[in-house]
Amino acid sequence: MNVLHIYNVYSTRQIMFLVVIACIPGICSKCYFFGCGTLIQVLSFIALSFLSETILVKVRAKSFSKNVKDNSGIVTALLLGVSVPPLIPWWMIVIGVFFSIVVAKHLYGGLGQNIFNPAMIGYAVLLISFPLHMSNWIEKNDNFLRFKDIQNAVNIIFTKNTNINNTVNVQFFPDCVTQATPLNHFKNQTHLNYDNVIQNTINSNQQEIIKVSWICINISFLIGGLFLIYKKVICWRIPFSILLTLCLCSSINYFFLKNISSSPLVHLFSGGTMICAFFIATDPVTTACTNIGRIIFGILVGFLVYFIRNYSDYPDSIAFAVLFSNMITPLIDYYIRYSGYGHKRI
Amino acid sequence: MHKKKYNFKGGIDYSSLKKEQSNETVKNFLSFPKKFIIFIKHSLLQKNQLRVRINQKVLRGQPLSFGSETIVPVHSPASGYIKNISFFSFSENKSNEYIKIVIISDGEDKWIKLHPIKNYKKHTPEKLIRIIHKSGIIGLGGGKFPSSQKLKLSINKVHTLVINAVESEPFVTSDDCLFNNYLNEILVGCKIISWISKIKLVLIVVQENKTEIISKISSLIHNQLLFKLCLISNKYPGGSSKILIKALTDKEIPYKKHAIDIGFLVFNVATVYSIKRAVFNGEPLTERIVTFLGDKNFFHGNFWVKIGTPISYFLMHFKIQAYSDINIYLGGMLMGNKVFDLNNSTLQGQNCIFITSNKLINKKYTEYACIRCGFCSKACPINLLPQQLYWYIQSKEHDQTNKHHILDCIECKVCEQLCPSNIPLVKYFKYEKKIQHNINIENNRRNLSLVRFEKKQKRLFFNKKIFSKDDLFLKSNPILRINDFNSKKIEKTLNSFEIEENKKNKRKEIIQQAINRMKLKNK
Repeated sequence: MNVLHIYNVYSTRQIMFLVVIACIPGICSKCYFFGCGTLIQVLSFIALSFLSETILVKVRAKSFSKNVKDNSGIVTALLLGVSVPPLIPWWMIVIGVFFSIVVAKHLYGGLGQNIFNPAMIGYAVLLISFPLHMSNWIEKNDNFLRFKDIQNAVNIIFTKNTNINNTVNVQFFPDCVTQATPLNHFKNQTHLNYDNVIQNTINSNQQEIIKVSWICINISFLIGGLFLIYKKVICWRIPFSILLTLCLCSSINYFFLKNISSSPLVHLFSGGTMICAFFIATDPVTTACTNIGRIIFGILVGFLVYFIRNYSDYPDSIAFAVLFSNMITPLIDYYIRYSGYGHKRI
Repeated sequence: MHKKKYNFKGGIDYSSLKKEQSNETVKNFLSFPKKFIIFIKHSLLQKNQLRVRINQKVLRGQPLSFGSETIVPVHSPASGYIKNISFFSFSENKSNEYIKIVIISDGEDKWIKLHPIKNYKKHTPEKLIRIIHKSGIIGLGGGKFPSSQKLKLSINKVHTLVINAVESEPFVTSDDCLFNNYLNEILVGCKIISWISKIKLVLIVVQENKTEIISKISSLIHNQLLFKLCLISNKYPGGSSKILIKALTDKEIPYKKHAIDIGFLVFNVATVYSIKRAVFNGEPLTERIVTFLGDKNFFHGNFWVKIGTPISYFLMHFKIQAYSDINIYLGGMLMGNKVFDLNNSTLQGQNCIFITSNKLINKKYTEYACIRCGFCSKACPINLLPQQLYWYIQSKEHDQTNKHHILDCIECKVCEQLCPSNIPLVKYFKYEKKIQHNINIENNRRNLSLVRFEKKQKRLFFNKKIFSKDDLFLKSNPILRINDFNSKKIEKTLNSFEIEENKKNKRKEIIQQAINRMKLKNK
């Protein structure tokens, strides 16, 4: 007997679609600051993930409508495309899709069965194996017109050989050797005391532009996240606890060591903090299921982000923090559970 | 006047869906159905004994069966003669056996001789309970627990009476209708119950959106200290007694215990009304109000329905003859069970019959994979984790399901309603509950056999000890030596027994000596 569904608030497809809508302001601002390469990348990621999913569903002999039509593949592809720097070559896109959707999602048994966040697995694989390409955040050149920019991006992504040492790229983008993210700059400062070297290579004017661009991108992702919380798609506990712990840890550090460490505002509005807090860590499949467990998960992620950023070699640490705390979620679920009705409270 | 809104955790708000039907008066059926079918539950432990034979003439209100204290008799709903008596079991649930009695009415609605009691305060509570038991009243909210038994347990234990007029299911208004039309009689019924079990506070619980009833009751209650009106928020499932008591008092009923153990007596409104009828007018329970829910094409409203009218009669009466297009549920939209047999009749516990066309139900809902969104655990009114239970059921970990308290589930289907992936969760839970029940039975059997084994070993050792006085015999006998591996343990226990017996004997001697001394002194 099938029960009448009178009160279905959202279906799974609608939830995934709302997440896609919430990503739109973030993508727009990224396109504005880093060129149209991100848009082309996101579209190609989505197309490739759809193709690979259909093939895998046929191989696993499962129904197409149940496994592919739930829009979850689009969300993972989109998040991967947003977090990866613009203008990475096409073969890296293929590798990223292979590891995120084939290995992390379907080889674990499809949606709902995966232990790790699929988008972050793809990102981590790319970051470890191709570190030079993945830290290649290029500033948009104002000399190009819009149509030319698209053409240029397509050329770089799909056709031309894009080794970092190649002279063609350097000619177009003189900034690419210096790796212009504020977090990277901060890392160099803390570890090597390279203050003078960096000041010589990058103009102070350009540095400010870069900082402003990252702040804008983070704010646009925050707006999307608040939209999701307003629609009650995601739980507010995870992003709130992540941001609070990151802010607390970094402000303590900043209070004691002002020379070396950066301010909490830089930690909050640079890199992928907002994407991590509102879109990646809140993936319901890989988080704890109770309310207290979710708060513990958020605190763990926030602390790890702070810790890896300050004391390790990697400048941005979303992927590792999220993956490590995904490992611990089964443990949290085992020990923290609700008491039923009429039993003594734990 | 007391007006405070009580709320409980979880649940679904149906207020946008619900329409008010309370203004409608109760409708009587004009023509009597010719055939009544009555089902009496039959099991080996609790035997119902029949009082009638085939072809015997019966009057309305004549008891058809009798049993022990835990079983209430069932009365015939109309006058006529009995056509057939047989064993029966429904095709969907073959484990339960019923006695099926077919009565054919003669059209005249003759009552048996009634014995009304006008002044109930002249009689003892035990006699009133006996009258309630004789008139066959059980919990009409769906619990089906005999209310005479409930009253007997409640004497000197209970301090408040809770009257449950909460219909949480959407569109069901039978209790509402009863309150609207027979308010005075219900208040008298409350007084009778409070006199029986010496209660000094009566809480009447109504949902907050029923404004007419609230104003009516509050004007009547105004000067009386006995009554108190409580409003509960308009949510599903507020009608369950477990959730109701938690919302009112913030206490939980302990595991495997009833509301009486904390000091609350919970009665449905329809039961209170029928108790009043049984005591004041002497009428046994033969009819109740049932809401009919249908589409625009079918009828809907509240009706007085005699217990035992087959469902096919309703369909015939309203000229619905295309049976193939229709699905019928006994019970509300959410808790109801689908009916496959049209001879199935309305019993005491049912307050709603729900009829829909096939087109609505056969909509396709694709069942996606669970994404662990947690909507179900947010909405669960009794603090369970349905998604986690679902995973454990799929991986067949029965230990974990027991640890997550699956046996507490009240099967309200809230989690199913909110699930974005359209998973039939309660279906899985019912299946798992049966498995848990079987595991419990097997564990009990194992424990019993262990106890038997230990006792047997003790007995064997006693036999051996008699032999062991003869040491030569023991050493020469190889068979008895096999049991020696356990002898040290058993000897210890036996020694302890002997010591205890000696102590008892010594105490007896001391007491006897003391008694003798006292006797001597008195002389």
